[in-house]
Amino acid sequence: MGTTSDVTEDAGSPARPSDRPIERLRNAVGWTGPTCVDVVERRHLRDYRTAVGLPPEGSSVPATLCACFLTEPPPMPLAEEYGDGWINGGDRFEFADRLSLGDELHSHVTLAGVEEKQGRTGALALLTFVTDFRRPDGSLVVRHIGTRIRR
Amino acid sequence: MTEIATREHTATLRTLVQYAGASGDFYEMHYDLPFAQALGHPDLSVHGLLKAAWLGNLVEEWLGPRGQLLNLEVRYRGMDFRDRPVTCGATVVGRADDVVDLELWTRDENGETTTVGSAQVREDGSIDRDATTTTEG
Repeated sequence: MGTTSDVTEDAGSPARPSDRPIERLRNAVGWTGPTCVDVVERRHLRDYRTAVGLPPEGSSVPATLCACFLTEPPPMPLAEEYGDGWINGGDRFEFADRLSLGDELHSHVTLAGVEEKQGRTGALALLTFVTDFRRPDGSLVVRHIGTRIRR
Repeated sequence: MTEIATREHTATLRTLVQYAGASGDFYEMHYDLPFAQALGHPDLSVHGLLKAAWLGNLVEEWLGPRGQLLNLEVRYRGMDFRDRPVTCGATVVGRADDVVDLELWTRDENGETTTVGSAQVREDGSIDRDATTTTEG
């Protein structure tokens, strides 16, 4: 019985490198989340403008509104096996086109990189997620690159 | 280097809840104090992407219709917390052809830099090359 044999041989031994959460995360590079479809809607725009300190009645769409179409924290259960919580390490937006009311955006998040570092309070996993927001015709509107940290 | 603007924001609990609702980021660290404290934080933290939005607003308001924001990047060096003022700033640091480079930052009430960043805009020819300093409260 292979399972019993494996348990016996591993008893008391350290986890194999491939069993460590950081290794499983490294092996998951390329993982993609579900495809999302979002529309820039007037009421949502008003709420976002209010939240970020702009007059609510404006019709211009702040470039950073597409952050609302990210899923935060990233919907990746495997990442939650590392550390106790999420920290946002950084964000980069690359704008190919302006957003307007009524725009429909299709997106999905991809895990693009994993790095482990030693912080002041212990080990950290730095995860790089890339999300492309595209119009229904496939043209790129915004690329978001987020560094999310598990510690 | 030309500072284009600074602006102070103080995120209240209401602000954090408004941002959570608008962005869909309901990570408890931003509105559930016991959760935040269990993670070792002294108070509810301001969403990093809210600080990015504040900085983006500074750049877009300065730029207006005179050009296009090409990219915006921020790195969070420290956490900011509710009910504490955060000063946001943007400075023009370079130009190459029609692209203007800006440096971005936020500082907490002690003057510690909590966010560093950059942005690039492409000007359409009407941006004042000697952009005068404007400081807004």
